[in-house]
Amino acid sequence: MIEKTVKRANASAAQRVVKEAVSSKLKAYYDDISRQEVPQRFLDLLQDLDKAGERSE
Amino acid sequence: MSDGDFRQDLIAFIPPLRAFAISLTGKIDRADDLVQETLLKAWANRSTFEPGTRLKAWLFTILRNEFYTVYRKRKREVEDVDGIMAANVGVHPEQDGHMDLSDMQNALRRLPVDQREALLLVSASDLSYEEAAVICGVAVGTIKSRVNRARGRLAELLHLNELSDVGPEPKVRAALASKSLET
Repeated sequence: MIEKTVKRANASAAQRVVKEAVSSKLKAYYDDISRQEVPQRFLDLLQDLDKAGERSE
Repeated sequence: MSDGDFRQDLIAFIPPLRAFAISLTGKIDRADDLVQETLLKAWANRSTFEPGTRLKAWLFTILRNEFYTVYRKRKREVEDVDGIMAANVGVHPEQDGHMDLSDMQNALRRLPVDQREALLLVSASDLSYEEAAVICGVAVGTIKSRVNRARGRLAELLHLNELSDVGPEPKVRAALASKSLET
């Protein structure tokens, strides 16, 4: 009985470790991409759209 | 909201949109096409955005819809790629304990697309389960189960399951292994 409870606790602790490891690896990967500089083409695109809007007003 | 303010807000969301698109597609050029399309659509529909709602969720919805529009067109091609990936899943890659960007990228590509997007929205993009459910047009419970399955699969693909070796004894490992076989 006690042995079962201990096993269950160990299993869920192990699962938590794995889950946290996956999350932190994913986060690190994601943050790395997010830190890349915003490509100039997107800034230019938005500037053009904004300017076109001003002209049509 | 003035156009200038809207533009500044869009610029602020380009990095998270790109990160989502790159992780979703696995290709920077395809991802940047998606981001560009998203910015164009967001700008064209800016009058329909309701201030007070989350711009981030709105933008992710546009990008995700755009992804599926393109994805459906390319479905055959994508399925072929997934088929090749699936065939390689059993192969244990050479391991030197080193983890780099492409390991994660490759692992993500092997996830079914519905699991991949759920995981990216919730675990990486910091959207709530509720927001992810609205974005994907499914129930919150569906998102939760997709995220769980995606995490389990990623753990296998990245060999993070082995982390549990340091703690619990072999019986637990066996239990974990049978658990992951069920899903």
